[in-house]
Amino acid sequence: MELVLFQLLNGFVWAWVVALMALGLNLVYGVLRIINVAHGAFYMLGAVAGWVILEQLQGVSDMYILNFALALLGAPLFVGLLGLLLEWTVLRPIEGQPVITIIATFALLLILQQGVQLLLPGTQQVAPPVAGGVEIFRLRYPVYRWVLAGLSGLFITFLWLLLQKTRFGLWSRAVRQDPELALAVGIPVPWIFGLTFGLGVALAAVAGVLTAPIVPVEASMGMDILLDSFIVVIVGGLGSLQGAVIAALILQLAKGVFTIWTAPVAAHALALLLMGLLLLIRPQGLLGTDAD
Amino acid sequence: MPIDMRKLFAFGVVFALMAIAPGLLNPYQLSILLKILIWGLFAMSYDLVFGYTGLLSLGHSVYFGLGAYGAALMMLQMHPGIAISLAAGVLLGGLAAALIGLLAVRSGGHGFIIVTAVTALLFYLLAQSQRNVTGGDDGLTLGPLPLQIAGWSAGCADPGPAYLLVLVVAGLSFLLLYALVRAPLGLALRCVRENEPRAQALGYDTITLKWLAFALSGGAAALAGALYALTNCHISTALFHWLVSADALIWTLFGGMGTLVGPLLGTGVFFILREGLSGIWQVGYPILVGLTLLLIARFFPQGLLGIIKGLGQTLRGFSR
Amino acid sequence: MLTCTRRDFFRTAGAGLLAFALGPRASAQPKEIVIGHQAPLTGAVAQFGPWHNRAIRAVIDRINAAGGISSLPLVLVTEDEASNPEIGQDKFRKLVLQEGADFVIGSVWSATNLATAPLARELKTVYFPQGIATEITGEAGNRYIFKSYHTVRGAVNAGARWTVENLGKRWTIVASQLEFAQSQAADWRAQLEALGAEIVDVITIPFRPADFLPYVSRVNVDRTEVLYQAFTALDTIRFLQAARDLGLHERLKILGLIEGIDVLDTNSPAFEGTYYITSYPRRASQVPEELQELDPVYRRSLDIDEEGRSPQGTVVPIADLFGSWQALSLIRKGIEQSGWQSKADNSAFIQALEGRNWSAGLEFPQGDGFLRPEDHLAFHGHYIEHVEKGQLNVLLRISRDASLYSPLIDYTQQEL
Repeated sequence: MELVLFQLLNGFVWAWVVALMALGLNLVYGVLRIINVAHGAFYMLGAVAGWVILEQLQGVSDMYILNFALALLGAPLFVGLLGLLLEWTVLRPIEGQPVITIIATFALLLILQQGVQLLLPGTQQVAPPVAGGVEIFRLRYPVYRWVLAGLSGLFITFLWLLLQKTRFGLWSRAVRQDPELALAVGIPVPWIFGLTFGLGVALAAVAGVLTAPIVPVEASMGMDILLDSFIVVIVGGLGSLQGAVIAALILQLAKGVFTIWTAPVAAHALALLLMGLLLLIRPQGLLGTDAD
Repeated sequence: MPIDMRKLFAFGVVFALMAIAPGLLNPYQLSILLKILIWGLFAMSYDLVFGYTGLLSLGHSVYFGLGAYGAALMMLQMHPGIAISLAAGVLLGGLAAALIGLLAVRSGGHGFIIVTAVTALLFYLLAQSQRNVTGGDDGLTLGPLPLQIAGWSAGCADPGPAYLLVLVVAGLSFLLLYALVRAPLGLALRCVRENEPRAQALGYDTITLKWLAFALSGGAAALAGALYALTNCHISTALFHWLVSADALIWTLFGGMGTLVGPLLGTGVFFILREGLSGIWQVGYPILVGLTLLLIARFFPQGLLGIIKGLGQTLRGFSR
Repeated sequence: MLTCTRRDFFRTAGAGLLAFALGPRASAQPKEIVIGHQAPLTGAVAQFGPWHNRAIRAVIDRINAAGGISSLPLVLVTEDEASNPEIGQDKFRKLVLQEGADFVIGSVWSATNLATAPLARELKTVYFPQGIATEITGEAGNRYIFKSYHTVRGAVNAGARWTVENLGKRWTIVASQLEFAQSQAADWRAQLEALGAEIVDVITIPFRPADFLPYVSRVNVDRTEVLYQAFTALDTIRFLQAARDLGLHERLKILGLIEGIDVLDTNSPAFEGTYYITSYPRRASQVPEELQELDPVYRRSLDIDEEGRSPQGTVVPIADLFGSWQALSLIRKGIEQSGWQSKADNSAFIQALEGRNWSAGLEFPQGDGFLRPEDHLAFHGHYIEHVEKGQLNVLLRISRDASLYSPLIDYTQQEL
């Protein structure tokens, strides 16, 4: 029983990380119609940038929590700006050619990942801002993982507010529905494209900084989580933000539940099979309207 | 489309040159050429779905991996001889492609990418979780191919006659694929790629066509995997990783998508390039690949073959 | 549709192939001895490759400065095997067939060793694998394979008695899925059964899992006294961190082999109080008296300080490097004794090494040892070390005989 609760709790915490990743992917897909294969590389870049910021602040300030907060804001800002720049220089010129664009994002993945590998070989460790554990049913669970889930939820709420309550959100929804019409009514569509891509990869960076204390920070860290986010996006329904959150919860809780009976690797595979089954039942995704 | 006799003749010449390669190259170089043939076959199979049908798959590593494990396990457990082991690999990979294809081709253009990528993860995890069968990250070690031609026997370090076997199989596969894309089926596939609604209007069952291309391509990829397992003497679960599929994408795109020679050419160039790089460039190789991809995506979507063709036309223009 | 003709293909590919074919070719060079190093310079165990390479170069320089071996100079050729068995095989082929390597010192990546062993036999080239999976000195190996440093089973046997008597009798083994860790799980199981200890559970963890908690949470804390861990360096840190996060460090003793931590700085809370079976003390102050004269020479030639660090402050796998160091010393002894001139003399060379004894000296600074003829495995002394206040201290020195076990195979029966 303790083990069941433990695995469910752990799955619940990871669900929010995957949800953050999937939201970023989905946002970009909804507006730009791009499957961003480099999304995992931006996640990694967020974690690495966070590590760099923490290293730089080490001598400056003794308040580690404050430093971590700065890294949590600074790294996504940096990655977001980089995303804006890359959208403008690399993706803009080949806009409208889906296959070519996806290949370009794959090229970005190779360049970013191997660039980090060259500049910062090996693995970095990031200390959690809060140490210690909480006793649940005789097993200790690290406090930071609670914080991680909470902060992820907070960022998702911010995103929701941004998309629902601001002019950017309004314009973004207009572009999502009909880019040509949006342009005709005077919405700066190119800017919306750039900002959306920047925002999407910044979300990956947030996930990167948040998970840095519980995973090894290294160039290839984004590879596995990318595919989990992929399946979450498509099972939730391409372009559907709520669907992504729900699918992330299903995937990660299923992983936790299956871990009770089998080894975690096999549990991961079973959870993916379950997602495939959901896709068979609803090919357009849980909350998807229709195919792309 | 009629079959061009000049092209067939050129194929014969290249094939003959490749056949005398064992006399010209040292065993190490021969082993590299062998890998180019195998991975080139994989890239050709990939292009059947990517270039000819217009579907970007990130899951072809699954069929390569299944082909490899099917052949290797058959060889290790039953020692049935080469042909049966190869057939076991092709059957396993081809069947899996036919089944997965049912779901994948229905999931739309963007969905297809994701579904195929996730199948790669799924099979990777399954292979990892069955370590006693697959050997996990460490993999399985096989003995040399039981093949001997006039006292010349195949080895794990020096491929010897195994090279000739692969050359013959790859050559035959090339001719088969060539006949396939020249046949009405090939034309129909390209029609689907260029304009799916119109293809439907013309009465083509586009879903079935895509599924057929996917299954055939999976079978060919499995053949490449089976050849790899039997000649390389070592396979591991890393073969299932989606990045292996991405390699095929890179080679195909670089050589020229929508052709059969292009993927082969791209594979060869990348292998020889990687051989030539050393030191810092060895580590930087993926960056180089990434930059090349960006350039191709932006300026030369037809790849190396496109460039060669362009050059050829310019030259002919001058000589006129 | 297919507008490019096969002739275009032939023109380009032909030119490329020609250049490829005219590249460097293996040639018989009787004037030098080529040492190949199949080194993990990138990938999972990239921290080890450069250090092994450096150790090899240090010995080669010393030998060449003294006029080479039988007046033949040594030449080193290094290829990156990327901690990957497939690439490792390719690089072994390249070293032997293209670069003309006479002897090859292998990677520390056990999977690469196992995949390379058949190639070594086929190419009749003596190979010194540096990984520690026990199988390499069994069916998976052959007469061309020499282990100049312990395997898992040797280390397990050395430490088993003391750990069972002093740390506890109820064990949980947590091991990576990799060969060298599975070797540890299997060898411990046999040893613990022989010593009458109980195995509570064996938990297998994939290489580099996304998260350790789902695995570590399965450890039965109430029934376990000793938690044995077998991982590569990177995963060891994460495992120890996870064990600490769940509070296991307060309730049970954690033990492992030095291979899991020999590039890690133990000065962090996660390491405090953990135990290791090692083959050489990291810190100079812990080196036993009879080796104290050799220790500074060894450290100096590799630029390692008294705390086991490089001038840049990184932790050097000081014990692990003996494998490569001793491999070269063995090559020298073998050549000198057998009168080796070229690979044609390999069978004399191999027979000269089988059953070879050595005593502590500059060539063997780790101490006395011997190479068993049946399985070509080196036996040497071991230590139990314990992390106190962030530093590794020796608790016990274990004689070489404690690690002896009956050989898994008899290579001397194999044809050469």
